[in-house]
Amino acid sequence: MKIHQLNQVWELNPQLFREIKGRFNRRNLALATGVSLLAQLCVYFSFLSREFSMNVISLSSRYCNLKETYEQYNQQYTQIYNQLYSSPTNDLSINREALEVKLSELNQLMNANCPPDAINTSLWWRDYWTETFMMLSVFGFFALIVIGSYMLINDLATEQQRGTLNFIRLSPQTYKSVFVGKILGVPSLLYVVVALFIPYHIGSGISAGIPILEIFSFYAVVVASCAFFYSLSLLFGLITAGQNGFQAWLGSGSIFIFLMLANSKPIYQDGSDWLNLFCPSFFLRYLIYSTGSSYLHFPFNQESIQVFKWLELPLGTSGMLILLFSLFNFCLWTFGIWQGLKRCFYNPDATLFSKQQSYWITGCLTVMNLGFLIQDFELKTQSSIIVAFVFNFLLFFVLIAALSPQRQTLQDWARYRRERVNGKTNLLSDLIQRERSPAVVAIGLNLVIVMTLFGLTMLWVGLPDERLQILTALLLNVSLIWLCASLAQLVLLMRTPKRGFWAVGMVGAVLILPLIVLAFLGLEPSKEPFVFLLSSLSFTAVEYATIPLVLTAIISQLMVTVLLNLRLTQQLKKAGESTSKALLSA
Amino acid sequence: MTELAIETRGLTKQFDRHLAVSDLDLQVRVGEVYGLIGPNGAGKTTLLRMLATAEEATTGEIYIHGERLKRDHTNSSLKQRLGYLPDDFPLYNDLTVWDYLDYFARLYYLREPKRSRRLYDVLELVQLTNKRKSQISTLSRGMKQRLSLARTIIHEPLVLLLDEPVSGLDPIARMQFRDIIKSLHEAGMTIIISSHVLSDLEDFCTSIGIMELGYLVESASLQELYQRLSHQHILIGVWDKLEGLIDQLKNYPQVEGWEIIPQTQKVRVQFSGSQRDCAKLLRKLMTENIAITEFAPTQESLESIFLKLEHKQAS
Repeated sequence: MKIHQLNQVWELNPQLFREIKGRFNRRNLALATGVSLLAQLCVYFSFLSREFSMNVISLSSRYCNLKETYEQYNQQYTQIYNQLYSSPTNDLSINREALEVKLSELNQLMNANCPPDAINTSLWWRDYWTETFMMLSVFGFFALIVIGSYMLINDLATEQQRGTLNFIRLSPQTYKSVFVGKILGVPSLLYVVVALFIPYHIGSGISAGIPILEIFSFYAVVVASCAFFYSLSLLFGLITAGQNGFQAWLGSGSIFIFLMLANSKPIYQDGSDWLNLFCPSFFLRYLIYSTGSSYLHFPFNQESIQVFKWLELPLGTSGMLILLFSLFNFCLWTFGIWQGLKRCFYNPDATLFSKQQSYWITGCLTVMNLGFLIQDFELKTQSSIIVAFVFNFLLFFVLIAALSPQRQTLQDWARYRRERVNGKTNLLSDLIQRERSPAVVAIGLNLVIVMTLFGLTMLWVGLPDERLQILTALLLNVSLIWLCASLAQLVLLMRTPKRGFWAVGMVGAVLILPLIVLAFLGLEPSKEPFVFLLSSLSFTAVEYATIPLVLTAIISQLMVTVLLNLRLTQQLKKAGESTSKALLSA
Repeated sequence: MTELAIETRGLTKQFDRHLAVSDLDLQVRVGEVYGLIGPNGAGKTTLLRMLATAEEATTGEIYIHGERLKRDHTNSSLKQRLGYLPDDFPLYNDLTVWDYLDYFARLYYLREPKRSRRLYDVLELVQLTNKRKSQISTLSRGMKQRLSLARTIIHEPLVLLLDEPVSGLDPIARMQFRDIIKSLHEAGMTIIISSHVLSDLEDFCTSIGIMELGYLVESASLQELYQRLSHQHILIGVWDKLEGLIDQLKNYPQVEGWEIIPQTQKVRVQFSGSQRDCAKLLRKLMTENIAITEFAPTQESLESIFLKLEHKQAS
């Protein structure tokens, strides 16, 4: 690139200029180049040992053209073996010694090496390059995503700790310019290492018979996944400021574990299949498939990706379809994350998402979840419903954290609500759409969205005799989540310093503690349905419970929620008192 | 009416139940150097942070050159007009002085060739031209503070907000800093500066605001403050006996009292008149043939005014 063009890039993105300036010195570049070349040499030499082993390919190997002869020897060996050991030992009609000699000869022939001129070298080399390509691809995207995420979270943590991020905030630069600069600049040395690998990677891919266009399609998936995970890392770095650098390990470690799980997870044809789409290795299956190779030693477990379906659409049957769907998936959620980045960059005290944004997010996530679920929308088979309910809990766990304002914000809202909106105020509209207000009503509305979408799907694909059960299971699920949201908001209004941790702990205790107690007591949903109905595993007990029992459980949970909200209202009223009123009443 | 560079209406910031800034109405005219004084915890830093858009106000309005600062907005055009130097001065130790300033110049959309020119100007102003290729980590505290100021003014802001800029500096570095602020004032910048070094503020401020417990208890031009709260003293020394001088002083209307300084031939006179009245008094004493050896009008310092106001908020 000409210097003039490079200058234009720097002018457009000062953040990228700063990151590159700080990193691209001779020492760092030499180190990055050295690391990349050394790693390539290591990969080359580790596979070269296989090249030497070409002369010791056994007769039984699929690379030996004399495999048919081996099969004949094997057949003879089995016959003689059976003749020798299935007849009685005192059978004098069999010449045992001669047969044993024959067996030994056959054994020697079968274990012999394949003659060099009978080795199928083209097949051997194709598999050799396929394996090299696969290893480079999997290690490559793992390194890119995990190390890049670590670098970004760590960089943001350092900036926050040092206080320099505030100066960037105070500049007129947009959040997009700053974060694009960070994403392109902070892992720039990692990009150098990976870029030097690309010729080797493309070369091995072409040698393995993979079309170049498909290799670039895989790159598109990797780039989209990097954009998604890097944006997520930035958001994580922004919202977990002040954890003394621990958050870089926590964030990148979690991403690594997630990728490992998604990489080794087969397609189950339920909501969990969604996870596979976030790991770029799913696309490698199609690259091999297109070569017609029978190579199966994949460093991932995505063989069954071809049965991937969403909304009954067989997206897995075509590489192009699943490529487009995965790119759409990455773009959609990256866009969502950038809404959070925007809010947290301009106002670190703001909630991660606004209430209006949360309704869209819930809608999209539930539609995505239901898209996988409708393949098997049955309570009796349970696995898919379990995944759906667990997904609901996770979604709302994140939503509660992302929507619930902190104590100070709630206090300001309670005290100055009317003054901020020039006296024109409507409490309900405040609770549904405005910033700073408690999140309980907004969470409730999100739950209504989930209920509606689930209900419609149930009417569409659910079995008629299971509809009521699924509906009650859903009601119990929803009412428990609302209880958790109210509890979290109440805890976040407490005076204690670590309110966030307390909120996570309390909600976690409500969801998990009863399960531990139930497991410890060895209770089963079929025998003690009521206690299960009150827990987060309520859907397992619905089929064993009577309607009055289910209603009692729902009413009990709602009553606790109402009590929590009454307490919350009381606390907010107190927080909203003027100083003079507080003094006079004291 | 003179244009206002900064105006706040009912500005309030609450932390838990503590009001850090309470219902504050501040007006700073264009081109003023406004000194903000008050004990620790009075709300000076919070006020400056809110003006710099680094902190969101709980309630109230802020106007910078007539444009209102809006909540939940990027305020990018307003940010272009503001320069803020906090009391700590975080820097990037991996960059050189030039690269650091170049980065911030780019953040504020300064384009070449203006950018390089501005960088040289600013480096010259803060006397760091010879250090432009040095790594920031090798600079002294004073240099780092001057570099931070350079970063704050690189985009030629209209309003400069300085929070304790001279804390921890040695007397020479403080003097250099003072000179820079005077130059910026001459260049037409509006400056709000909070400091505990009141003698410095007295040197270059045009107005003073006193904050206490989150309230702005005093806000006036330095001249008005002196007129209202400071007593003028005149130290008069005579060659002869003091009686003649005292007889004259008794008959002079602007003389409010006097105090004979023991074992000297000097009297400290409390005088309420203007400088013109002061000159008239000297002329009168001379015409009455009083042998004057010393005639020194003195003004009470800002520090003594501040102490006299008895703002006793605990630090």
